[in-house]
Amino acid sequence: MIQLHNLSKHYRDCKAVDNISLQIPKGSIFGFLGMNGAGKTSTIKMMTGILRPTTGTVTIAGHCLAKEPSKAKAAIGYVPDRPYVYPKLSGREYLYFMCDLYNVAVKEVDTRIDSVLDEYGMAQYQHNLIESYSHGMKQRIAFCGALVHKPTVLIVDEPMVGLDPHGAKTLKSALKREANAGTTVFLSTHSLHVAEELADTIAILHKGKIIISGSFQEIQRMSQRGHEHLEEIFIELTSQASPYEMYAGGI
Amino acid sequence: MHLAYRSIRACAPLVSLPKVISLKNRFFRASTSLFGDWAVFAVTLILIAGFYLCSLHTLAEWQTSPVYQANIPLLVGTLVCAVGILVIISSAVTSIGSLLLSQDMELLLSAPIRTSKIVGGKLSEVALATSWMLLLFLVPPFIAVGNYWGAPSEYYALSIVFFVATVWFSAAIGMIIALLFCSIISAKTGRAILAVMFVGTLIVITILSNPGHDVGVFSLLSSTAHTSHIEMVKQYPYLPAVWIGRALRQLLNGSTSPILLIIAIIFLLNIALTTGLNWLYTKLYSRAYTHLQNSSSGEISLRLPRSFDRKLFFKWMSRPRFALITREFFSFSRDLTQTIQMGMLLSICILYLFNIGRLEYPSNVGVTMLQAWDVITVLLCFLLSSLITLSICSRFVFPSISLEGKTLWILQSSPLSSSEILRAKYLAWLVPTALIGMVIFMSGGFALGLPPIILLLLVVMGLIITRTLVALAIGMGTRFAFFEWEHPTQLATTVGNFLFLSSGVAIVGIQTSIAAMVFGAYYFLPELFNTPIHRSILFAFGIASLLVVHTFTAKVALRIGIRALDNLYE
Repeated sequence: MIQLHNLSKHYRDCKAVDNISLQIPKGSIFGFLGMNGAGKTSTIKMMTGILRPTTGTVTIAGHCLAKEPSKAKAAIGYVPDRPYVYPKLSGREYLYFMCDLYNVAVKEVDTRIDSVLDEYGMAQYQHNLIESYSHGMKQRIAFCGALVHKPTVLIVDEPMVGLDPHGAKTLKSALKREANAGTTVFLSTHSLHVAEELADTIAILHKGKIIISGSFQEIQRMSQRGHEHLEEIFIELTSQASPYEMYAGGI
Repeated sequence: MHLAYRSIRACAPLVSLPKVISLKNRFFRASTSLFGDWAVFAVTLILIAGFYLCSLHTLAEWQTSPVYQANIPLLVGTLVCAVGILVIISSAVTSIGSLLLSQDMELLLSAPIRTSKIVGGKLSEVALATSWMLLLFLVPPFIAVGNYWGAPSEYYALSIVFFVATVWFSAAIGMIIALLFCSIISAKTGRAILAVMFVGTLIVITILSNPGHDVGVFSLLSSTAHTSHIEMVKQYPYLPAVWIGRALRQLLNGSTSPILLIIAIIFLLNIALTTGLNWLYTKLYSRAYTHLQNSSSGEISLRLPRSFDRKLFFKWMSRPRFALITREFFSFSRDLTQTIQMGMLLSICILYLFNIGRLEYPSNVGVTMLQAWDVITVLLCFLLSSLITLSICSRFVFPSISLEGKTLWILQSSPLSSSEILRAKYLAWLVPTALIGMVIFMSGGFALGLPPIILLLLVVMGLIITRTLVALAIGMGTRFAFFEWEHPTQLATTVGNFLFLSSGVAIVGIQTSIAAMVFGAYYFLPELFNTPIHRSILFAFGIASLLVVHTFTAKVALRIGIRALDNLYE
């Protein structure tokens, strides 16, 4: 469903993303981990068509992002790390806007909007301007906007930042539900317990390179030190100096 | 260079220091190429030189007419006052952004800084933001007047002091107006009041479009508005424009006392105003801030049209484009700062209509002079209407891409291409600007009492130039887009906007020259164009020429814009 092939992004002398390749199957949750500045957001921006890769290709739902951008982008629902949405629109108006932008069938628009608003507990605030929302509410309306056109791929960047425990729980259940319904979820996060709990496959990005990837159990086996939690494995792997000494063979 | 930076840093108010340091880092530590900045700098220098030469040329032309020559200082005085009024309005709008919406205010309010430092810093910020562009436009004519007159060195030194005093004065008044406005009126009621003002302005425009309106309840209004008419200025010795004009004349002749007196008065007023502003800030700031924030709570009353509305009226338009246009309209109409800017432009329209309506045929002149007068009035109407349309584009259309700000990711990750995004923006702004432009061109024509055929031609030409200016604004607004703004009002004072205004003036100049040929031929060669067919050929030629300029400008501007939007993906 998502295919990254030799993807790189260079900013002058800095290699933000260095030749990464991934293949993520339909209906799975993919946990994308890395320290600050590892290249996660650059990778996500290339996957959503916001940044053009220096080299490599991104294929979403069978459509190459460079050759068929409209078709590839139509299959994506994207929630960025900072959910800036139009402050002068109400929540419902924003969702109408997203439906029109993604050409959702007119007769389905209201049903879909009501459904996502209910799902994310935003129904009672739907007619208030977004500028009056709290951070968590903005995050939730951004999720509603990403899901209202029923994307086949959901790309989420740091979704747990600023959410209260209730919000975080609702979000985790929603992500599981989306994956069960067949949506491929690409989840970039610092919350290692969330990745451990939700992700079918995990990849750790370090200095622009994927240093390890696989299911949690596979990663545990590869780390060879018998760590119980992903946090310990992550710290061990990302503390080492060179990514070339890592478990690249496990990718 | 280092010494210059250190002295600027030492003089800059504490509140503005982060901006000074950011600017220094941009030029001395930037990792990106500075080629664009130097190119902009070079273009700006060329423009300043151009303004200077044009001013000098105009003054030399006026040398032949003793009436004009005698009135130059008065004209400069009136210009300074008119610009001062515009700076006050512009400062009021910028102050709302800088003082109440700026992102650094939370940090400043929570820091152990004295109120006077915040007020002083914001005052200098507003003064600089609203005056730098005027400085670039005004300095060349000021130097040209001095050069033409052979003015002493005191003229140049005192002009700088006078400019600083005037800008300080305008910024202080603007900030006081902003504080009072926002503390008395909440954003919601503010919109209603501004809507009433808008309707009232339309009524005034309708009355002023009719030259014989000095009767009844509007006579008081008319006589007040009379003061803004250059020809009438001399009759009002109490007007600041007259004082400045006289003082300027004496300064040009070597006597400094009158202008020193005026500068001293302005400085004293400035000290009083700044003290008053400081006091008002301590009393009203939290109230004004709360009022402005309250605009966002509660349900909204006007909602975005749903998809089925498109089916009824806009079936020809694609859904994403329709969605973008309606979103643009609703975001604009709910933004208080935009509404205030709209009020500011309406006041300029009133000023223009009043003055254009006052143009009268010169008496005791020959037929040729009357024909020339006809051409001059029509061209003046065309030129001034175009310049007002240009200022509308500069305030609203040019910043429209920058206004996407941090929400740009929504469009970038959507299935729309750069070209579709830009074309939707163009269409969204073309319709309202063309409507407003048409009202301005038509009411100017009505005020002059033009014959219907000329009025029609004027409106058609006006629509073409409006389209050109909107395309230019969208293209250049994208090329010089600034997404990291702190408040939307600062977008009208960027370097990119200055370049847009300068290019716009050049385009208006070209279009006016074409219009001059058409109207000149029509009025001066009546024997050649006395049949409807000949007239139609002449008008068709004029319109076709305007369309050629339009097509070229619009294509180039939109292509530059699309390329700039594409470059954001790199």
